[in-house]
Amino acid sequence: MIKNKKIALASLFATLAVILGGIDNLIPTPAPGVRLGLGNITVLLAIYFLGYKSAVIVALLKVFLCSTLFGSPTVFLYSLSGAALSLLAMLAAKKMRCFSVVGVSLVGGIFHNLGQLMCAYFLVGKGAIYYVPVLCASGCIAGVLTGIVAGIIIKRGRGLFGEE
Amino acid sequence: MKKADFIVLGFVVGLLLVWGAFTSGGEKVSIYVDGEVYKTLSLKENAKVKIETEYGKTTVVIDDGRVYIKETSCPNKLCQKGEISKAGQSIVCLPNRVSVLVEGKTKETEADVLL
Repeated sequence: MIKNKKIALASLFATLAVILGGIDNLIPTPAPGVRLGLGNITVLLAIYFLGYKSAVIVALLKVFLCSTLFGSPTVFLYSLSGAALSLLAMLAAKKMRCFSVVGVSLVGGIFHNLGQLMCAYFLVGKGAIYYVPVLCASGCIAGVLTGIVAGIIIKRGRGLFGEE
Repeated sequence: MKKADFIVLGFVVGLLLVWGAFTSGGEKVSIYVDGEVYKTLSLKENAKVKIETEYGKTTVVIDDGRVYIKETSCPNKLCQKGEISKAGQSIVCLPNRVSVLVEGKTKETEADVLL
């Protein structure tokens, strides 16, 4: 892909991530820490269309912009640890080539919440461990849902954006 | 979706079911502040605990075997949403760095077998 097109698409995805993150904040959830993670769709798009370098940039921008706009320094720490682990897991899952977009997103969802839990473990202590099942389950569901959406976009957008 | 997707999904769901099967009824309530034990109470006795730290004020209530956060000074009030009663369940208030944990009969640190 031409470099300019890549930069333009990466910034477009980052912008979309911020908008989706804002919408995400408005959706009520049953328990704290449980989120739909709509912004993850754009990170998935970046992984599939632009490659891992751009995906890292999109994910970092998403974390930084979303937490400065909608969150607090604590939120930044949580999002960063979640996004870092999730991105690593998704890139590894994609490299394995045996997962579809939904599978990659599922792995990402679970690891995002595990990353947040690791951060919570350092901030609030042992109590966080007991929250693992809730966040694993919600990560699973959210991962599958965002994966389905991302899968549709990736399938239809191939002609528009081209592959990495 | 591919086969590997379902394998991972099945694996996680299985793990969660196993985890769920091993949690029992609660006995004690531990309140942690900033990762350290602040107070340990019995789940059977009704109580009201006020916690004031540099991060904010939190009021924990034990009522009829259930634990919930009555009042908190944090902005989003997420911790006021639910109540807990079973071992292993917890309420975490991140802004105030308070976590409330229901514990079962046995302590995790106890060894299974002593040699």
